[in-house]
Amino acid sequence: MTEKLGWQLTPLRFLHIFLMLLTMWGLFGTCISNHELRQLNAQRAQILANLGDFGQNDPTKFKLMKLPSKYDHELRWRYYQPPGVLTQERAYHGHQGPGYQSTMMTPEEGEYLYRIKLVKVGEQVILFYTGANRSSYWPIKDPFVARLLYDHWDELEFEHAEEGRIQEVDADATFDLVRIVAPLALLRQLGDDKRLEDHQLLWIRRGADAAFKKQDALNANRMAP
Amino acid sequence: MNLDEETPASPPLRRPGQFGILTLMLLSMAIAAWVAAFQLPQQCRQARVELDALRRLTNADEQEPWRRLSAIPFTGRNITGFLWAVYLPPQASYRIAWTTARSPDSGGAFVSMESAPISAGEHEIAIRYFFEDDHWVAQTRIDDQVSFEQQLPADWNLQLGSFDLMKNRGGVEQPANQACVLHDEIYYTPDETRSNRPSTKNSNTGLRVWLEPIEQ
Repeated sequence: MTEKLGWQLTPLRFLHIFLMLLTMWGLFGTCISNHELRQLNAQRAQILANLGDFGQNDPTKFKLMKLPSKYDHELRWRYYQPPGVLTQERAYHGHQGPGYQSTMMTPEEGEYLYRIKLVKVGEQVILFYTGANRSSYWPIKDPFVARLLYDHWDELEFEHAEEGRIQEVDADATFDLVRIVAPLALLRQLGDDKRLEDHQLLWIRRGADAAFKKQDALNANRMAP
Repeated sequence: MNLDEETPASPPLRRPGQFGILTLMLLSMAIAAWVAAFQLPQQCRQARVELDALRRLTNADEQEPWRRLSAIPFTGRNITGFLWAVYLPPQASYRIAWTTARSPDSGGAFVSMESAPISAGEHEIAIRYFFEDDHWVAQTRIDDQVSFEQQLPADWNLQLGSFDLMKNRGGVEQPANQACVLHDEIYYTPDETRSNRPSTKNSNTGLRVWLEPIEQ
């Protein structure tokens, strides 16, 4: 039969057919994977448009990026925790006196989303703070501070990293997540004549535990007679 | 020239290992296609890992703890009884309920004895019981105001031990439309079937305090 058609399945022709089939099979697999990769990259790009991109930076450093707020009375950050760093966080609440609330942690290496959201429930104003797999809340007991924070949020001064810019901090240092201050002019406007300077309402500082201890020792030495 | 007599050209003889340009091209194409077919899934795997991490961030971004019920127990040496910091979200109405007895009619289950509405927001709820003269006093306080108080006979808690379902549970954060049990203790009573050894089997006494949404 093959002789009639003038075609013979020689070993070389068999090899050619085999290679063509192999190529088609490989191309088929490539097309499927390529389609999946394009879909994954599109989803990734969509999320990054909302959450910002840390890119390929030094994985041994803390990284922080301020994100635009989604709601009123809210602040958001994207945060990267370097591996194996004993981390401390200190929250100074202006309405609770000069002390601070300290939390020690060694979160797993990776990225987290930090948020602060002020919520008014009835007459209460409550500050929610969500971070590395946990959330906590602080009721603002002082009515004046609660009013300052909730009713005058837009008039307060916020000190934090520039929105959309990656802030890299060495793993043996500290950095400020946010500092919220009521300016003296606003305090005067609301009838508080006792204060002589801006009123710090909230200050959250984070970083390596060792760096905090170093700062504490330096401060203690300065205060020593 | 007689074409009929022309013999077909026999393919050129090749030594083993010697291939034509077509064979080499086909081989190169097959190798290229398979290298791509092997590399792309690896890139897909890497992209999936990155995407999973990003999705975790997105999930965290979508969490709204201010819309969830939260109850955190206070622990410390200076705390008498059981003290909870409770946050009730504003989108639902709640009541606090308690009971000091288990109903034999409902198979030993606790049945609400007394309940009161509780406003949304943050509250401190203290649950305690103490022996006074010849009776027990059980009490639930909300923000330092007594909400429920009951005097109970001495046999309410024979002090033979208790089974505390909430022991070492820690804090909870849960959907706003679910009940949240703050205290759930059953007191042991002598069990006649086990040589009067204490057990919860026939006990009708205990203390349970819980929060539940009011259906509207």
